[in-house]
Amino acid sequence: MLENNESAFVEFREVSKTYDGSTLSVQDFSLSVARGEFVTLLGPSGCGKTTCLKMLAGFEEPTGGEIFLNGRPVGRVKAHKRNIGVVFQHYALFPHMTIAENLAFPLEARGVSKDAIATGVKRALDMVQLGQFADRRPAQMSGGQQQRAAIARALVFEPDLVLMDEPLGALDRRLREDMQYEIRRLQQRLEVTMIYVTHDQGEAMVLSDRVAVMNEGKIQQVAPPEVLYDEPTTLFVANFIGENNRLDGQLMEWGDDLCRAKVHDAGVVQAFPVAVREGDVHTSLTIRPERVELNPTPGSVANVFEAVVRDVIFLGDHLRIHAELLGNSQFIVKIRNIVGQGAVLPGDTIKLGWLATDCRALDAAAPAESTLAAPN
Amino acid sequence: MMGKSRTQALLLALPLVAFIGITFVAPLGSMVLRSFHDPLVAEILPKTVAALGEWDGGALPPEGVYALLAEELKQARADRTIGRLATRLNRQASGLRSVVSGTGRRLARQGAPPWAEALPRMNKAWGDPEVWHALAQAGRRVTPTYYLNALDLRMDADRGVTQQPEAKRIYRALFVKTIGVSLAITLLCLGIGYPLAWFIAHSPPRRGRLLLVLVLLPFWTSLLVRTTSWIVLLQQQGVLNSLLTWAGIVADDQRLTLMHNMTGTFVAMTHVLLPFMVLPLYSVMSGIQPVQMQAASSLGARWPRAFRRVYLPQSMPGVGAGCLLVFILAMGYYITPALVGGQSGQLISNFIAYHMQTSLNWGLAAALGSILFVAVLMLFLLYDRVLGLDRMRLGS
Repeated sequence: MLENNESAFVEFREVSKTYDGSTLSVQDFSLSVARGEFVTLLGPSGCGKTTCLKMLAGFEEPTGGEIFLNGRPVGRVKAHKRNIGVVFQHYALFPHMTIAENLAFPLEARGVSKDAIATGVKRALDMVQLGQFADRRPAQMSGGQQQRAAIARALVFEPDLVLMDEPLGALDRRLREDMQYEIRRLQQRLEVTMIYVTHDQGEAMVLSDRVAVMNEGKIQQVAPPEVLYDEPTTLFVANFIGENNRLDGQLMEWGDDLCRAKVHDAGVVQAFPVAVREGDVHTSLTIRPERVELNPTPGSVANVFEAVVRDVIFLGDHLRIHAELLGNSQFIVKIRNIVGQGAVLPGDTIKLGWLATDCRALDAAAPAESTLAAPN
Repeated sequence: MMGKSRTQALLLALPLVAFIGITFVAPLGSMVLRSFHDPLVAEILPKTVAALGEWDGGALPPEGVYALLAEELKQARADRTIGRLATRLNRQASGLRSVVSGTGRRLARQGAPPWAEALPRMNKAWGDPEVWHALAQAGRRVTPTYYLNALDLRMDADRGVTQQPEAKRIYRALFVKTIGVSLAITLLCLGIGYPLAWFIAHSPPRRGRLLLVLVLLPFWTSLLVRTTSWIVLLQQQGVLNSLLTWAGIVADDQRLTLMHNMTGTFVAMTHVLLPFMVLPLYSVMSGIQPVQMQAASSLGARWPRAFRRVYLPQSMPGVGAGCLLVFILAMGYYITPALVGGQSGQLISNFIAYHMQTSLNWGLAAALGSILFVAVLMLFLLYDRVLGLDRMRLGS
């Protein structure tokens, strides 16, 4: 048994969930969340992030493992006793009640006195600037207003933990950005612990103290946003968060902080070994487009290769070059738009270079290769 | 001015309007008309009825009236309409059938003025003022008689409305019983149908579809077959009684009477009407997202509170629609009680059918039918006033 993590407010310990008995929706999911922390579960749809939320809220039971809330296992605690505020994907406001009645519902269930309910509801509505909408029905309000009402309802009974399941998915872009800011502000002001589920990496970056990236039921990496971007530990995270170039290569030699890999039978790339282990043959090398240098000063970077320009896109503050390099025909380079830089045109042959430390050698778990590697 | 497209639309709708008019409005209208408009006596005995209109209603009508009656009865016999007249008058005052047809027969062979003496000699009933009153009443084209009869009332000789003698009072009690039984069956259907619809609506799609088919299956079976199956199950030598006897729960000589009484009507009608409750409920419930109940429990509500405050109010449109459907159908149900209801399990519709088919008292059948129609209509309006028809939903 693992030690009980004293500082964790929420802890998933090797939690698994299967709906049909054969495929695991969530697999060995372990995650600790500290009190007051904002943690986002990020991943493509169907990766099991919502299932994790449902298990924590008490709507689903884990098939294996245990979830702890405030140090106590919640396996036998019914959903209505967990005192967790939940904001659902499509708000799940009660359509037959006014907004004020919706907000009063959790307080009534807790046996709060009439006066206290009235003041609590008013305070919560003012908090999300919905004071004048108290007597409206959900259907009489816009999506953004309904969203704010749903958030107010999840906060009105002052829970220690709030879960949000893609709460901004149905809103348009502009509104989404406003709401992100508002959610962050509320979370910090109320010092509530927040677990947030989204498939939008931008949203995760803006909101979270830490992000847990999930894929196919498994946690890929848990880290603060900047670490996730700069130091992805798996190929999935490297590709999912931001843009990345990928070169597939054969590992030639590797050490503690440097490895070499042969790419496309042509070049030898030096890289920083992140997720390569002894015995690995294949690796995926990733380089962020903005870390690639155009025509680098000789000797300044370990990796310099010739590339053929396919396309150049002018984006104001930067240029985006699509080039063919070491067999990758979609190698992307972002170059800052600065004065005195010679024009780059499609068809040109250019030199591209990058530091060995900016090139991360990751697992080669791409589906195409694994099927090729299998002999039968 | 009417646009061309509007004219076209009206023309396109014309066949439908005609169809509704011919198959629905016209029969219904003629039925309602029949319940208070009865020109039979006035048409066969026009002069007598007219003369009776001027009669002061004292002891006996004058000689002129007797003469006219004799003449018109002779004519009616020649026209072969006297049988219908006799039947109709017998309904007004029992015994008049033989009086009229007997008098008709004798008038064909004999009789001479003064008729005021001749007629009472042929049948002494013609010397009774009550008979003349009955004739005068029956002669009115517009008559409240059928409605009065349908409400266990009758018209006196002095034209006051009084209760029927106790032995003949049946319809008011029957209306009350029909409404009571319909309400009880509606509640039974709701009690069984609500959990059933809940279960179907919140089953996994495959199982839900299968269960829905099972609910609908009886719809595809003839009503007669379904009702007859209940006879097989419920009769004294039937499946259920045999099982109970076999299990030793009921002694062989004390087999339960489960049909040809109210029990049979209740069981079979609840079964027949259940789909009408389940379908609207299912359709409304499947529109209620499961996340609603999750939201309620995450907000701290136990299941009963969540159900009462969140689920039940949202399912009410289905409850309303289902109850209204079942209740209205039950009010007019006829075949099932006729087959399994026996003597005590008969409802108002069975008496309407009896008067339509057996006693041929169409006026009374029409009056009973009209009262039933108005009663249902009033309940419908009451429902609208209390719950709101616009809140009723057959689908989501």
